[in-house]
Amino acid sequence: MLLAMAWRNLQRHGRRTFITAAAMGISVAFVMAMLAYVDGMYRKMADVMINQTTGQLQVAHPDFATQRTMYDTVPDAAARLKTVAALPGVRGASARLYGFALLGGAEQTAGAQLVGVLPEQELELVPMRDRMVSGAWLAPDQTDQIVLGEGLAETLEVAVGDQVVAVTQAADGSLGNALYQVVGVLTSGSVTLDRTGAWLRLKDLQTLLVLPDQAHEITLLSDSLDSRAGDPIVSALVKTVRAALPTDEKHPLSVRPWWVVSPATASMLATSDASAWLILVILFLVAGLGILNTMLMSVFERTKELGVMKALGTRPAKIVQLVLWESLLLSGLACLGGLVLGGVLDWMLVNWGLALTTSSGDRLSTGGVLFDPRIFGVVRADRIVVTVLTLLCVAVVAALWPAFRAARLRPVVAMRDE
Amino acid sequence: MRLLNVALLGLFLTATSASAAETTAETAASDPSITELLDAADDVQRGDHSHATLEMQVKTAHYERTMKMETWAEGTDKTLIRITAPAKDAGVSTLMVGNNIWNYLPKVDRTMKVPAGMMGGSWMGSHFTNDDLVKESRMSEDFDGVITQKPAADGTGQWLIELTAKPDAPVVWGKVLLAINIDKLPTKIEYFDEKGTLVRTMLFTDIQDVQGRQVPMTMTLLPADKPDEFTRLTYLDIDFDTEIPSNIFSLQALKR
Repeated sequence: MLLAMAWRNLQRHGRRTFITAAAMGISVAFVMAMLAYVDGMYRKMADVMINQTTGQLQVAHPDFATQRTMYDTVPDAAARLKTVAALPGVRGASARLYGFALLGGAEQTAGAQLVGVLPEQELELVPMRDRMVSGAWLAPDQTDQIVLGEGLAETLEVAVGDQVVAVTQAADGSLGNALYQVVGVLTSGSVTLDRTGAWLRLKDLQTLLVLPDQAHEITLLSDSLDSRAGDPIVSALVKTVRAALPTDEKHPLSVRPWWVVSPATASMLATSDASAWLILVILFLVAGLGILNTMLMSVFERTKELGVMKALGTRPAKIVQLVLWESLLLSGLACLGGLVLGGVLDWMLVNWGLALTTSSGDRLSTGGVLFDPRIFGVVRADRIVVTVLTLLCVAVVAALWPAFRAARLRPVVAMRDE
Repeated sequence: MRLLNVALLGLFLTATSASAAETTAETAASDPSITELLDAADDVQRGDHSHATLEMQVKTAHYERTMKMETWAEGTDKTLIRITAPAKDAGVSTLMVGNNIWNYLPKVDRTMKVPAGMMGGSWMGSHFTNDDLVKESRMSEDFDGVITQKPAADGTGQWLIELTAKPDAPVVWGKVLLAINIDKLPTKIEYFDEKGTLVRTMLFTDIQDVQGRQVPMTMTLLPADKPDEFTRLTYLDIDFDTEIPSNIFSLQALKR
């Protein structure tokens, strides 16, 4: 009965209802699209900063993350990698060894951060092949190959096919030196790494540094797509890996999730939710004012009619309900339209992406992390539910004042209203 | 003071035995000035030629190794060092001319200049940095010195000198404590940073007579923050009379 009356009242001012509903619907659609875009951007950042950098979890010497001394290694790296890679819930696993060396081209020399990797396993974590600027990624069966970061190759004035010398102080105190063939140049996704990074086979770096069968990290990926600290899937896998890798006092090992390995990444990604909330607040402030205006006008216009209703014995609670139902119906309609339009926008973002290029054509860089400028949307059901619920709550709250105003009308005065 | 040169070139050998003997006799009569003492320790044997074989023993928390090397030096700014043992490093050569260092690596047949950013790095896994090999500073110019103790009249004891870096001197040390024996040879040098914390200690021991000069045959570097570690250089043989062909200090000769 009340619902039918509310619906009829909305129809009495069809154009006004439509304009208000359209404005709210468009708000919903754009909130959905912006949230999908922001989530897509943070998914990409998480992918670069977590999956491709620290991995979702790491096995390492407990002191390596903070001290980064060459001697804090995971011994018997090959056997340990094999053990953890076979665990259920492990989507990718690779071992890395780090070292600092002086690299020399024909004329120029520069300090470089060497990363020893397993060429095939590393591809499960990082899409190295997509990042090659020239040449190719390391071949798993070729020795003494090296891939250089773009900036480093420029500094050394070398290109694919050239040779570079690496000189470093090895773990036994000797002067480690070797000659490598440059097979590729890549852009790593990190500004710093592009200037100093060089990748070679784990085995070659173990030889150069005299650290046989040792690694600094075993890096793992889980099935989780979440990028929030405390993610239960990653936490569970941490426990599984800990149980599978018994440690002794001589070779201490720590198994840590990414948010412990890199708290800076965690706090940066935590702003994802903050920016989502900001978008919601701004857009629904606007929507709320629209509803308030519409409902106030509708109540003022019907002062006489409402006075008659009260005179006929309609209780104030009923009148409050009537106005609230009108507001809810209005925003419900707006939501339906908004979901359809937002769905279309989301579909386009997910499938086509949106490229925001800088005027110079350079790639986006946030916090030293380079991004491909094309961001693909990520649609999250929880975001859509929150959006709809927020709009409906705003509708109720914004209609409360007009509703109580209507309920408090004195029939004699109201009926005299022109 | 070029630290390693102190050992490799025999920088402190410059007080010749003759003058050393005279000084000993005259100590009580006329005290040398602080500048004289510092210059004696720092400076004088420019133009000297030396050819030596050395053993370098390095002990760190992670490794202990002994290397043998042959060195040629001319004056204070030309030095060639060639590693002869162990086999893994044999043939690795370091050429120092002025403030530049080049390393020749026989395994890859390349010569590499040590870039400015790497000068603070370890030389051959020892506690010496590349800078220690070449950085030139004169104690009497860069530091203000105070003699805190003099040898007794009977010739026992030694000079103790406290050096404080002048405000704008291009040196890494804030304070240096120097012990110089009656023959004007340094026996112990302690290096402090700007905050006054001891960074390292150098000990000069086993003083012998070589071709009429007093030479400490062993020099030991003790890093203050790692009590179990040291680098020790010991002369196996040293010769001041050999003619050294001047073209030995060239990049071409480095590859030999």
